[in-house]
Amino acid sequence: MMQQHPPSRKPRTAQLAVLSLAAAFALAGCSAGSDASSNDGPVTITLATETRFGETSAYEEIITAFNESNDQGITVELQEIPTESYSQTIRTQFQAGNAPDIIWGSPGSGSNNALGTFADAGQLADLSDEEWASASIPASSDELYYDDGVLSAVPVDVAPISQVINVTGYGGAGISPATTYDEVLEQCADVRSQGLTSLFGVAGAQTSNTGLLALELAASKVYAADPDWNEQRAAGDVTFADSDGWRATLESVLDLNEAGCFQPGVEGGSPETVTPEFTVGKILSIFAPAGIAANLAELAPDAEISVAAFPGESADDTFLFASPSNALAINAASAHVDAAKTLLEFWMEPENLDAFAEISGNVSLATVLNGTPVSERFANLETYLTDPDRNAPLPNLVWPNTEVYDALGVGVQGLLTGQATVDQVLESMDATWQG
Amino acid sequence: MNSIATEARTSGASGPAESGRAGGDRFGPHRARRRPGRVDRRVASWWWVVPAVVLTVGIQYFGVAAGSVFAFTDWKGAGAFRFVGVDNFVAAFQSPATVQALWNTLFLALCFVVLTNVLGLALAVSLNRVLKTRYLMRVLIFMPVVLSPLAVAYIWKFIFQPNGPLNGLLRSLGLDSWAVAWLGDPSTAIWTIVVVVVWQNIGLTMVIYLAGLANVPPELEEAAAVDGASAWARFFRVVLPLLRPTVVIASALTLIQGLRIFDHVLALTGGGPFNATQTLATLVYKETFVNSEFGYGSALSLILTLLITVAAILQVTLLRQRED
Repeated sequence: MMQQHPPSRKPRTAQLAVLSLAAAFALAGCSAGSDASSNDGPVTITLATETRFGETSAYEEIITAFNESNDQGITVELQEIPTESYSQTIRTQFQAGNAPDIIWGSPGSGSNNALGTFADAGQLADLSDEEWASASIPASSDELYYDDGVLSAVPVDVAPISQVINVTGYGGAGISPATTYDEVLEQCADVRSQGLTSLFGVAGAQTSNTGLLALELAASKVYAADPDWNEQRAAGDVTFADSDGWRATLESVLDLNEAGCFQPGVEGGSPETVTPEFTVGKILSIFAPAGIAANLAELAPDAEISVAAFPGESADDTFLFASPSNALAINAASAHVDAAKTLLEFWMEPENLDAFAEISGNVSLATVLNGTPVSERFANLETYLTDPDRNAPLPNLVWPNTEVYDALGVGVQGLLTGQATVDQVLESMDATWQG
Repeated sequence: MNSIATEARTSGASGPAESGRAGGDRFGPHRARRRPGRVDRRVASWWWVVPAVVLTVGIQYFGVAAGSVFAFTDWKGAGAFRFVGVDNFVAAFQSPATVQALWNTLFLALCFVVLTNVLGLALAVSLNRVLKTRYLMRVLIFMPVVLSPLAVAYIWKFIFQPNGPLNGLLRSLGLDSWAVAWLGDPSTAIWTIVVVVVWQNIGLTMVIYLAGLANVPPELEEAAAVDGASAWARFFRVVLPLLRPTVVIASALTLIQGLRIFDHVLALTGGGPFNATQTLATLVYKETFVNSEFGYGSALSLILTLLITVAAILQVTLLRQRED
């Protein structure tokens, strides 16, 4: 019988332990971030942004131009992350220490992709001393981009938040975009009487769209008369519940619904139900960022798609949210902060801002900064875009936390279904305000 | 051979004639040869198990423990955090949205358990014997179980749209008043979710009950029939008592599954309208990954975990009663 030699377990155990530790260190050393090359010579940096509609990224165009033109050996790689998981992915990467060198996000602290959260955690590079960065901030957006005097992101375009309209559909109904609120209510009845679905389409099942509806109404009812309402709220001088403007905003939601301005079953509406009817002119207008007009135009080749501002009580009261909501920031822990700054400085050149806006579908930042002519596709908004007293960034971006905007969106749902009153919605917004 | 004999003599063994001593001596060497083999197998078994244990403890249990710690903080998912004690739990039970979500969770779970088990049992009894097409029917009814919950939910979302196929059918039948916004009406939204989750999972309970029915001797039913028992009496007095262990298992499993419903709610209604279909699972997702309230979301997650743990303990308790 073969003799069995007891295995030398201790040495084998030690070998395996050493191998495991070596593997662990090797894995820990792997990084998805920037290439850890020396400061001299070629460097590769990464820029992460959310994907949009699956088409060619506007960011890629500028990145390609930079890669081809810069003589410092800097190569930029674009990382596109699905919109739904972008915020969580970037947050996880920051926690893991392998975040990209440059990240996209929204300024302030009130949105899902707020860069303010990362800035508060000290994870973004300070751009306050960079002249090109300071010069890129519109005067109306100082509050949005500066936090205690620190600048940690730069805008790349300006997104008007307006009506996206089917001009062909309007013409077929024999009407033009209303210039007063009362005219809107009249058109709602007129459109229905002609057998069309409705004047406005609202994705009632999506709190982001119901919230946007409320903000577009609030533009004229709150911020036209009180542009610094947000500062007053932050100081505790006013509340949503005691604001006549916000009360009028939410009551308008009820008025519009009762007037048949929204499609039947609005409380269950979604982009999948609204968009098909919009593209064929059964729904004439939707509440959306103006930037998607170009995408919708592709879906409606037989129709002319344009933009218009939702009117106030009068034409003079009409106010537009034109928001520099797309921003880029630099990871403070990046090994190539200077290279990242070089890219952003290149981006802030007027011709690159114009080129980026042409692809992104938004207004060029150069238009707002330098007064250059507004693109033809935004001709209907020129009055508001060129007058600093007629436009401002989206107010929810400067709200202290995302729950306030969520309370607004959910509250509008409740108004549409009858589950909530105006008072309850306003009180819930105050209750969720942190700070 | 010589060395063994020498060893036996030197150890005091005189050979096979002295059986006691020889037995003792024989046991000594045998015991020494068996012990190393048993230890070898134990060590070898541990080496196979260790990777799985490390992964399970490291990913599952450590993750749960780490998440539980954050439940007592105000962490926003980035930067530093403070320990806030039980503030998150107090806020949770004071929040109307959380209380609503808790009730919705229990309601969905109850409906899911009752409907999947009752209907699943009915289908199992119907397809247990007699029907020649029963095997095909079993396959068709079980197929939705293997589909992705998200895919199923999006298909049903299309069906329930205000201008979707269901309302189109109702309008074509002259039932315009029934053509409502199924997913947007707070009185119908949660019931549409119940319909979808029950539809997708009824095949699973059917299969469980078919397995249980296979252990019910047909002779018992035949004997009861001979004694004059009706079909209902045979089912409730003969079949169902014998199916009791299966009922316990199926209901406990569906209870745990019902408490965790997430994909369907998120895809169909997103928790709306106005939180009418919000569950604890979807609220955890919303607070953690949308509102970036990682501390508060962790607290909600801990509450949900405790709720499911109680359900699991109930299952164990009922199983023990079955064994007794």
